[in-house]
Amino acid sequence: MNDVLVNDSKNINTNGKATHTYDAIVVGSGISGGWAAKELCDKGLKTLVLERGRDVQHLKDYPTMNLRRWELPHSGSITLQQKVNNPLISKAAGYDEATQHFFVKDEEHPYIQEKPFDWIRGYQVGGKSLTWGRSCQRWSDWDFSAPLRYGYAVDWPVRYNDIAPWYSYVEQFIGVCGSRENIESMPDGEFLPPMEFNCVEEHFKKVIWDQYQRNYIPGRLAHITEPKEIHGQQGRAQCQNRDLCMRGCPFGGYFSSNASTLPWANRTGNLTLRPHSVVHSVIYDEQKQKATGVRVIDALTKETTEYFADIIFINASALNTNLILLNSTSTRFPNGLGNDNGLMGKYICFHNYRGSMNATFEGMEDQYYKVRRATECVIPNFRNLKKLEADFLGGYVIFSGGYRSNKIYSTAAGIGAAFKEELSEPGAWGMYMYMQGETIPKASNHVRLSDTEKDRFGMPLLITSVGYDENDDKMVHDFLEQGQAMFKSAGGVNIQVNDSRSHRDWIFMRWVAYAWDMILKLRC
Amino acid sequence: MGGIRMGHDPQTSLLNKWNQLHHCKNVFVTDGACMTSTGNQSPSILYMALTARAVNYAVTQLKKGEL
Repeated sequence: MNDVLVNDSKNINTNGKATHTYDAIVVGSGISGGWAAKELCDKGLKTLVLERGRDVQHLKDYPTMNLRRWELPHSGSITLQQKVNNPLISKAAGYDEATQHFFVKDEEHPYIQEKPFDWIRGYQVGGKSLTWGRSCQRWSDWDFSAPLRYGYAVDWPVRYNDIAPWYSYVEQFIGVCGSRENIESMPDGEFLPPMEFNCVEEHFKKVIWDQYQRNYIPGRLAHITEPKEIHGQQGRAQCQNRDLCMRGCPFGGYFSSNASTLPWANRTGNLTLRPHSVVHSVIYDEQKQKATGVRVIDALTKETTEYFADIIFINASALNTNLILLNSTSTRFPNGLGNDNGLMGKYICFHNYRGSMNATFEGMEDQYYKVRRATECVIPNFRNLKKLEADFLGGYVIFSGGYRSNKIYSTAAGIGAAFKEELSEPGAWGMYMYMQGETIPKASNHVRLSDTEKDRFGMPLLITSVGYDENDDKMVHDFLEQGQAMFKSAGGVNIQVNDSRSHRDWIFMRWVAYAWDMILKLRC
Repeated sequence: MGGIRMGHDPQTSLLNKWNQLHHCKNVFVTDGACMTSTGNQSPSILYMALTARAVNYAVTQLKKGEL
């Protein structure tokens, strides 16, 4: 995509307005920005995509995509110094020696935590679409209507039927594997074949259906399990079950902006992608009563320039989009663009991943699995669907999987031949579960701009004031109780439960990263 | 998620059902900031679906001279 990079940053403001004018501007190149770019370019609009980070091109900029664990300087682990230098971002699941270049460095991008809040960011072309969890479950009308029915937040102005055709449109393009299950709380989509269960998962599925009438289904993830023509047109191929996704996939086996939407948009001839472009604010024209463009700070030269367009899409990631619009002040909008009611930055919500557990399952030791399956299994939400039945608002989905553990830490054979022999034998079956819980939006969970502190680009620092409440505590308690009961019913032993109380805006459990790490150690 | 939530009413929300700012019609927000509630499902594919839907609307409106 080098040919479309704008290289005029040293000549800014000397080019005249015409050369800085496009039909549309998209701020951000992550999962939604990439889609905005593709759709706008497909419809013939000359589109400028502004990305604050460096360029990352598919294949070319995935330096670790084919490295084995022993080819990495520290076998994939991050060093103590890296942890000390990056106490926040090093907590992100999937952050390791092979993926750390797709996450920010703490010291380069400060923010102010009024309450502890882990803001996980990836500043590069493709954003967090390179390192996302790839989970693609549809919302049901139980989700869209819950705020109205239970009296929190405000009513969604859309319902499932408004979005369903667009879900289908996206699923067919990106490729989502999954099974058709006819579950009311998790509608079916346009699925490629699902990933297979292993034997302990099959066993668990049967038990929780028989005893709880709860579903255990193959996770619906953006992996191409059976390529269609549309995937070939994107230059993407079948997922090889390498389970090295977050390094960038040479096959394009999972969906990212880099492998899919951005090169697609580029092939239309309508895309201009400008990395190193920190958007300062949206320009509002008081006469025309509309936005006319954006102000951009070049991350390398620190110079400011302006770009103009008829349509502006802000896809800078949730909190940065808040930051940009709060910073877009004018005589008409002194408190941020469109912020007449003063609610911008308020009602921040997130997913609660505090609860997790694992268990050992005896027997089935004559069975194993063949591939490094890159997906998980899912228990769709079973709480507060048709009526409020719990002592908390909202619901949770459970992610889960079964694995053979290893004997590395249980061996008593010391070192030498006996130890090596032990290492070649898999240990008992295990299973994990972790929750992804709804948090209830409230005005007090908010972000705002610092009046006094700025970053190295002159942008006000974002203050995050976001925390858990009693509703979250109750939901975690319910998950831990229900999860243990289900494990026990299925014959699980040595059940270990955990409430991490960690705060983060997205991404899955650190515990799962740990579990995967254990599994990978055995596999490699 | 949230902070620039979708809703019916400009008094209590920032974006309309097309992810368009109530008070500045040619600016659209289709990332996690638009979320009225979090649901329990992973939201990324909803962002993608809302984005494609909003672009379709925006370009239609632009061609009609409404933006």
